[in-house]
Amino acid sequence: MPLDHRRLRGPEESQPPEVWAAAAGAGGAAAAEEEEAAAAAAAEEARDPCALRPLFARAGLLSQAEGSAYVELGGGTKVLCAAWGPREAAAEPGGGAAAGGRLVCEFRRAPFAGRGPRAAAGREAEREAAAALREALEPAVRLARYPRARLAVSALLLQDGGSALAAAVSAAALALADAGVEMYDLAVGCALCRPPGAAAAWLLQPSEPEERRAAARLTVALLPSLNQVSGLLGGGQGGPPDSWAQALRLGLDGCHRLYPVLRQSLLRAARRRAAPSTA
Amino acid sequence: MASVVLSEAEKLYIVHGVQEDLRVDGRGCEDYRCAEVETDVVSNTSGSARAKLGHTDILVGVKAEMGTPKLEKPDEGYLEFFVDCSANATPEFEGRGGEELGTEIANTLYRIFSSESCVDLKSLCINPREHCWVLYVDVLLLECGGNLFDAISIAVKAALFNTRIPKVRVLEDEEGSKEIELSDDPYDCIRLNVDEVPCVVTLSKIGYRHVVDATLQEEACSLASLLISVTSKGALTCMKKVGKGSLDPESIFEMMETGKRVGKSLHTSLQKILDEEESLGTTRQKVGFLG
Amino acid sequence: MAALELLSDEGYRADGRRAAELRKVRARMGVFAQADGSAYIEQGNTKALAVVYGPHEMRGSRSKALHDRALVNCQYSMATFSTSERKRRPHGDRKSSEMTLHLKQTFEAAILTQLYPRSQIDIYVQILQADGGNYCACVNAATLAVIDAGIPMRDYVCASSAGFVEDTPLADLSYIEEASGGPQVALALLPTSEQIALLEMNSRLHEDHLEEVIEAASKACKAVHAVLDQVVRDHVQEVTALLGD
Repeated sequence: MPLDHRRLRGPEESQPPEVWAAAAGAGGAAAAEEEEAAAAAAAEEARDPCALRPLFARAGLLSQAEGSAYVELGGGTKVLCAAWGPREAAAEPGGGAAAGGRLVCEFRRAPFAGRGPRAAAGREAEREAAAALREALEPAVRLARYPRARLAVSALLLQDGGSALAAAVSAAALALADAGVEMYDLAVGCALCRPPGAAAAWLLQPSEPEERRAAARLTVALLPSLNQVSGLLGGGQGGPPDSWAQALRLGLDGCHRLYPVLRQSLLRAARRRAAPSTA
Repeated sequence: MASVVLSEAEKLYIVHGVQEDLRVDGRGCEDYRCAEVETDVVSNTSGSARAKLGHTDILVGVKAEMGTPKLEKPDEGYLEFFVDCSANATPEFEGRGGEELGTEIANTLYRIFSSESCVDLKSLCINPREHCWVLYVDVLLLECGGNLFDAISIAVKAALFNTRIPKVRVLEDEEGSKEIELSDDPYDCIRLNVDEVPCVVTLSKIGYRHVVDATLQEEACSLASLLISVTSKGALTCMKKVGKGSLDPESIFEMMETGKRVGKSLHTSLQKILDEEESLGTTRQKVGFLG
Repeated sequence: MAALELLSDEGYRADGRRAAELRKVRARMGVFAQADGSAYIEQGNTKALAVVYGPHEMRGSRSKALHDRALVNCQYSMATFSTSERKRRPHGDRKSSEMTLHLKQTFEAAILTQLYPRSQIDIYVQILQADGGNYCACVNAATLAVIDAGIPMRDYVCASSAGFVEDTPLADLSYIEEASGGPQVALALLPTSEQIALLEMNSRLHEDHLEEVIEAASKACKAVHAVLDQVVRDHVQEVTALLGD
């Protein structure tokens, strides 16, 4: 067989050494892991399940995109979003059944977003997140006003510190609004998770370690002034409907509390844009 | 999906009917269409099933193949889902046309089965870190007449129920090298416990009410639906909003309650059919597509 | 390893058939309601589904339309669980593209395409379980589906394979016979006029034997034709009985 001498061929799959280390040196490593888990549990005890993480949002920061937004959650989730207003759509696949425009969403994780390589489920997870993003935004945008046009939103997750999809929904809605797209309302995203254990309560806006340990997760997107749920995606260990309903209520409450912050940032962006022309 | 074009009058007719709890085909809002389920339809799989719900026709084949366990879970096997939206269902799926829908459904299936209690994955492990059974669950869409997700979940559950995995033994010689020996007896096999495998119930919002098991026409009238997966005990394992519209929080709570109720009865009737088929054993006349 | 005995001294094949004997053929038309025509066929353990849409307006680019006849568009796919080793893709690989092309050629020869200028006929076949003779099962299923769709054809197209082992031609090869690597002929025949729609041969066969093998295959095709004809007649009778009520 001819060999390619120009490059060294590594194994097709690479594996982080931690996984093996944990099993081999069962004593020390396992103990350390347990400690970590205990610490996390203790932190959970101390944490108020209804507490929201501080949110920073800024709209209109990219000059090339028509609309853009950056959302950061305290604890390290950073999402950058750009939106492009109506463009003429290429021949629509599947016939012209839809009278309105199309919203095209993209969700990407930066290669440095998470800890360790996440190549395994990467592409599929990105695609699912993009579909969820589209479902959450579609009800908010007045697509009927843009017949045969195409609106594009691209979200880039710079750092994953938990609740990434929720942050992306908020950022994408801000970016669309910043691009001057006609909308009914902003979509606000909020994530929740339930730690393992029968009686565990749902936590609002989980951090990345909390999310990793979680038995069940839920992401809610709300149009606050219409009080309509535009997106809902969750799964995990089964629970009675009441428990999920409670989670939903908590999430909606969180969305309502986040809404003013997002509106403020949009207003600020509009003022900033208006300022140079008046001066 | 075969596209349906409805006039405003037709839509109004359906919406008003739903308001009165009487649907176009005579069902109430919480009634399923007549479902047909048959297991063991493809003989060279480990388990297979065909589910027919109205015009929606799904064939599922499960193949057990040996693989290496995932690193994070060295003592468990795993499930792989693949959905083939074949051109049989509609010409739009020709070539790569069905891929998008296929991956979307597969992702939803992964999400539904993400709960650890669904299938006992530990029983699929042959030898930790080295060998495990990988169950390839391949879904083939033959015809879609609305309510794909529910029909697929029914077929998947039936196929998993039907799955028989040959028993293997691990032999270790003095040098520590391991050898895997397949049991000689073809009837000596592992069965999966499917009690905890959830079924999907899709509730479509039409007007002010919601219906289960919507037909294509009804789906065209509905702006948004809620997809929930329910186990036989009534626990929710997955929740997802699908469609272009949005939902009122109050109606979501109602839909969840309805979904739980409907899902439980769906599980009971499905289990009854499966047990009945099982009891007939080899005497059962296989119908397949000839019936 | 001793080679598998494909033909015993007594003249029986591995699955107990005689050299010229076919596997059991069972078929049904009108399996699906949404398609214009559909059919399902079982030839032994090979199971195939065929669906026909059309004739309809051209889909996609109109530049492909033929001004004097209809375009026959085929797709051959195999369910991922149809073979004993799981397949990774249902279609799009080289083998299924080749099959697609063969089917297209076969049906272009049989359908009266000149009746439908500027339109398109879609034939989609799906192998649900593969046990040799996939092409033949597909052609037979597609013939029934085309008839079910009411598209006029010159004649039935019936297909059968044939092999050659120990100086004897074998009709309707099963998977093990195909896999043994002997010569293989696939023949699609219009039985009444005895015209050949497609003939394909693999591997090596002495010229002198070719005629015998083709003869065996065409005999098998005619036997298949008798079965298919019966299926069509039964189906039509059933449907008219339903209409009569």
